[in-house]
Amino acid sequence: MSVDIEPAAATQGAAMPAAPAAPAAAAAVAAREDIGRKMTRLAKIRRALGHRSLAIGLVICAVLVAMCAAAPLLTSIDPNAQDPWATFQSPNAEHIMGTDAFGRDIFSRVLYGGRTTMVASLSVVLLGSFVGTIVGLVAGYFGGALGFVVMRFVDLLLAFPGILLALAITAILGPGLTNGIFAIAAILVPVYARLVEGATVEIRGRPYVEAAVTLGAGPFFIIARHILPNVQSSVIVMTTTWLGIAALWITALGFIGLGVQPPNPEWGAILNDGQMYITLAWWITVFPGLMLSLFVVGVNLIGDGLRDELDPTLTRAI
Amino acid sequence: MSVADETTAPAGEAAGAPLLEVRNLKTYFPVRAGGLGQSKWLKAVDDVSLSVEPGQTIGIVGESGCGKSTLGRSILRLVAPQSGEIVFDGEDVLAAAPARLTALRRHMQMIFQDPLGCLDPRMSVEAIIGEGLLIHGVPRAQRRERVRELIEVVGLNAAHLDRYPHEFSGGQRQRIGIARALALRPKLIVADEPVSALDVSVQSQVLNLLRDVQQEFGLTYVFIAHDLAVVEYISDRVAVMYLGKIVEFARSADLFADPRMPYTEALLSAIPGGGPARKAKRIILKGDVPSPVDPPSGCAFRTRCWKAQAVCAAERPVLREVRPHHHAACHFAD
Repeated sequence: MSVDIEPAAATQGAAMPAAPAAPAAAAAVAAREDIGRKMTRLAKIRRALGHRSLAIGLVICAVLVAMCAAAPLLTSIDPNAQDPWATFQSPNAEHIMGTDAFGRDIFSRVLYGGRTTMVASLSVVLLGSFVGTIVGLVAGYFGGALGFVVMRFVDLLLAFPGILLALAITAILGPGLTNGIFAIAAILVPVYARLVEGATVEIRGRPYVEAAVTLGAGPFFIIARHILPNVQSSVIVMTTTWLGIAALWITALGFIGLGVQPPNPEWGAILNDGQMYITLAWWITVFPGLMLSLFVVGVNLIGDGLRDELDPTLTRAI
Repeated sequence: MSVADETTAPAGEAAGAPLLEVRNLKTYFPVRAGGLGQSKWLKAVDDVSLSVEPGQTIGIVGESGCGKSTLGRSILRLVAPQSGEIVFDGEDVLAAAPARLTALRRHMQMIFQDPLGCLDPRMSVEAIIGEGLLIHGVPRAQRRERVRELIEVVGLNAAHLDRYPHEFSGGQRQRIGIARALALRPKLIVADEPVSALDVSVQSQVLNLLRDVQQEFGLTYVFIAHDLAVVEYISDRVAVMYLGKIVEFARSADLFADPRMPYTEALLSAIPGGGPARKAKRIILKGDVPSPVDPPSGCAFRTRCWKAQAVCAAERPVLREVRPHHHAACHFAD
């Protein structure tokens, strides 16, 4: 067995003399390779949690998700139950976030409404990223006339302000949460398609794809085995960024009445309920607004952290 | 201008049918030349013919941009040639239908210049070496066994199989690339500058490995390089390319001892510390390689040649046999 020992040369170019000339660099490279080898999945997760914004974001989101998921345990009040004798109550022991114009409990509405907002925004990014990634992979890998036409259509969609297009689509489909999800997911498709197409074109030209071709790999094998694994970290980072935006858009649709239909709670819809009375009863708008802001901030912190953690030079050995 | 045309025997003396025959191959790329719709052709490979007998190594040398890599990639049909014929093991590669091409490529593998770039960073060494076997439906157990054999053949060991490409040195990465190319038991390997990205001390180890596996598996090599010392070491015959054409083609020993084409002379004089047989004087070529989009009239090399006469501009020299088994494209080769 004759294993080459020239770690310094490997990273610093061919004309480098053997290791003794650059012992420090060689040691650093060797140390890094050692770390890369020994790092288990668990250690990676632990290191990722050491990333401050990622950790804070995860905590915020975990608390919000847990609160909304455990809504029946945290409150026994039906979010849609009206009480004509208890309208506009400010936060008190019985209604810790107060009540609205119909005497409905804001705390209960915020928790149950959060479920809707979160599930809806998650559906939006999953649907949008799934379709958009497929479009991008196909257009990027096969290119040619098909790719050209698809990507020009994508450019066309990207030229519209997203929320405007979402409103137009919802107006055509009719108001409702499901239609809202489809409308916003449709806005995400070109965004993902553009990202994935660019990455695909770049990866398609790499020598390892050519090597796979000479081994006899077909296009779908190459897309599944080489291109998708190498674009997935960009897609994941993008998804966390867009999850926050999707939440804002879902609530925007709810706020203007194109999303969730009354009396069902949803953060945007609750904000709308309260906006007329904001000077009289601040609690109706402030609490759902606070929850929404926290959720978006938390998701964005996770996105920032993942962007750093999923840097390909650090995670090649996942 | 055919090296292996009907009248002269191929420069190599090995008997029997060649494993690979390239005839009048032209690989052109369209380039937009400023004006509207005016498209010109970049003649990366321009009317090249050569043949390789089984078990032999043909070296292809030339400056960067001379079309040697495109020639190698054309042989595997990784780029689509304009015209010509590539006959591998009696079958026309350029005419093969997609399914047939996949079957043919199983016997023609490639080793790449960039040892890191040719390995998928997200695949383990085991997955990389076994990829060809997976594609061709070899069952998992056999695949594991074969990959374990191969990793030993290229001088690494089974402990390396769980690791990822970035954990290896350049030479080790190239060994992994070689193991991958060997996995399907090919007959022909096109090695596109396999050692040029490596440290000099590692180059010889990898070259020796390539020689060893050639012996062991009876491989035929098309060895592309710009380093003449490397080519001299590994090749039975050498073709020198300039601007998409073969300008000299001979047995390795003949070419290095007595080059007939001025361009080859200049290349050889550039080898540092050349042996006693070599001219001590370094020939410095004037100017750059002309654009392959607009090659000079007549002999493509005349713009930089110190022997150039009027005839060189008027008439393109054909590749002719200037002495047995030695072909050169120069008016003054005799």
